[in-house]
Amino acid sequence: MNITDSIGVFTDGFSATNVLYGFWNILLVFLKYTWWLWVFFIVWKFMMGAFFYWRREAYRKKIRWVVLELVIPRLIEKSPRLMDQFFQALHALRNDADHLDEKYIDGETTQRYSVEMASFEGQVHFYMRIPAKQRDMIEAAFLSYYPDVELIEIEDYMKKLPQNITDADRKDLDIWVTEFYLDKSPCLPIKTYIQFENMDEQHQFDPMSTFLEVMARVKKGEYMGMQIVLQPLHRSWNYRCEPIVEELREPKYSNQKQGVGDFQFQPMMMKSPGETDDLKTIEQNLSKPIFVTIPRVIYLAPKLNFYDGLARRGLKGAFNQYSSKDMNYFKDNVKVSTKPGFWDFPYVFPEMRRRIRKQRLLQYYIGRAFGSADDIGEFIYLSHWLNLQLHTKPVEISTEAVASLFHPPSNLVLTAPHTARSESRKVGPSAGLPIYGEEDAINKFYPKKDK
Amino acid sequence: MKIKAKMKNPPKWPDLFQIERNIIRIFVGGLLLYFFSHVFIAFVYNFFGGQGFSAIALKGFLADIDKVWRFHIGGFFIVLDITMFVLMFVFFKMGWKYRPQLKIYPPPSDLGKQVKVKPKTDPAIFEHWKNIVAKANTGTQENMKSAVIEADALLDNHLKNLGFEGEHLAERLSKLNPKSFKTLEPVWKAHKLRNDIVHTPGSKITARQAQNSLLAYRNFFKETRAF
Repeated sequence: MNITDSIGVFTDGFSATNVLYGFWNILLVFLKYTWWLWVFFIVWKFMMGAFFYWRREAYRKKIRWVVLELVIPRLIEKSPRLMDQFFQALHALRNDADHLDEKYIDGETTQRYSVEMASFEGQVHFYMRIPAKQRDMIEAAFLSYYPDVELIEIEDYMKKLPQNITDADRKDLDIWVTEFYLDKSPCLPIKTYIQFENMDEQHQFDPMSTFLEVMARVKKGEYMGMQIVLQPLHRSWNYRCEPIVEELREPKYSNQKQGVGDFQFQPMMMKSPGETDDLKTIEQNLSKPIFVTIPRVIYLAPKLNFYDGLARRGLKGAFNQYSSKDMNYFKDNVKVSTKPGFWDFPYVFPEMRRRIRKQRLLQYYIGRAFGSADDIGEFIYLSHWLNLQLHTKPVEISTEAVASLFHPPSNLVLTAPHTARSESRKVGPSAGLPIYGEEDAINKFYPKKDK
Repeated sequence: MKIKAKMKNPPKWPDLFQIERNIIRIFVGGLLLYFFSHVFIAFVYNFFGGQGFSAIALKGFLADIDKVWRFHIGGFFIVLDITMFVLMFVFFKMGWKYRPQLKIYPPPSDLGKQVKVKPKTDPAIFEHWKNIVAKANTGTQENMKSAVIEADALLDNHLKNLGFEGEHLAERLSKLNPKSFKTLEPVWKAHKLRNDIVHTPGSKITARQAQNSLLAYRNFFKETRAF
């Protein structure tokens, strides 16, 4: 085999056709000699995608979960700053594969937590779903900041909901679900509790009150829920934003030159107070640990009086509280939400596409799933021929923003009509009280360890 | 605020463990070593094997490299490709059961849990039924009442035999799917009538009421193929 034979330019003279043939033949020869290498890389990608999906899902399936209800007291005179601290403590529980066997045999991945609000016919509850193994640590962290809030283990309330779209049909329920995403670069923070706080009592505001008010409007037989699935990201994520901070730090120069002849120069411009503030906010945001999250909201109602306007516009409005014009804001991810019509790509079977999207997001909601498509395995497994898994957009926000999105409502919120509260104050026994009985007798008062 | 700069992409290499990096290094290094050692051998063999630096020697040298690249290394990779291709399908098959239920018309979640009614013909029921009808046909108030009560007890017994658990008839009936039984709705009405008779002292029923409720029971017996 002689390479030069197949290259038209050298044998048959220089013309446009020969050049084209020449390139084509060079490509063919190149592929002839290396095709197995490219096949190797492509098949490797698919194979490892499938392998990791299999192992990781097996790992996730083994985790035992606990759903805790946050029973809030009559009055919490505490700012969301404490919840920020709690989420920082939660971030420290991040796990990841450390060794080959953990990565390939156990399939260990970062565990996901979920903080939730649910409204059953207007009665709003707060929940948290955590792995049973980490329950003690998370309870300790939470109760040290909110000693008055009771954490009660309950049976998973998702079992009360229809488990799939057929169940919902049989109960004559219609579903609306959507996810929210950040419209701009995740390095830019949303408005957080720090902006809502004010020394002046009249100007204080708690964004949770909007969520509570919207959710309390749910009528009989209806259900509304919000969940934020949280996955702690590695600390090294914050360094990805360095170029943006660098750009903001760079001094700006005026376009008009000053001076004469060789002494011409561009004068440096002062940064406006707004720009300085922005830089400060961004750096403050990046100084905190980051969670990758999916905020998801759901509305279930009988088909007869199904009106998703309350959920769609109300909750969108609640999320809109966190938007600031020059920073970042949440947007409703219409490409995954359950209202596609014939005007949306691919223009056929709108009813079936609506059904599959409802089914998909209901499954995700019940399983607190992420549904992202970071690698090819997830994309293939989670796609349906009418609804490819392409449009999920995980949101990277700092603990500060997560705490603003979800925290026990402070004393600024009117909770009495909407939630079931614990009416009395809880105080532990004082230290050093005499305990009568054997040492072993104390053990039964400790929470049961899972085996 | 407008920002031109883009986020840094995370480097993939540090994500790998040290041992994985070493495996990749050894793999690639071994392949390169194999290839270049063969190039060296071919070079020595062709150019110092008596031919000297001639066109024929060059041709033989190129042919040797071609062979090593395409058949030795290429062959190794082709075997690897085929193995990985098979493994890919194996892994996809293993992971498929963890996939969420993505169907347009998924089966209901309580599919296996619902009690299935196996039709069972029982001649004793028909014998009993004849007695009940004969009793009702006498037309007296007492007999009509007891006929309805007895028919209800008969149905209760029948459902018990079919394997429905529960404390009383209403609990057993509620386990039936109203969509799969056309005659279930009238049975509920008949059962309510029977409850009225039993629990309300001095209640009276008309002949029409008794007839309707007995018809309801009969139709239900027929649908479940008791007779």
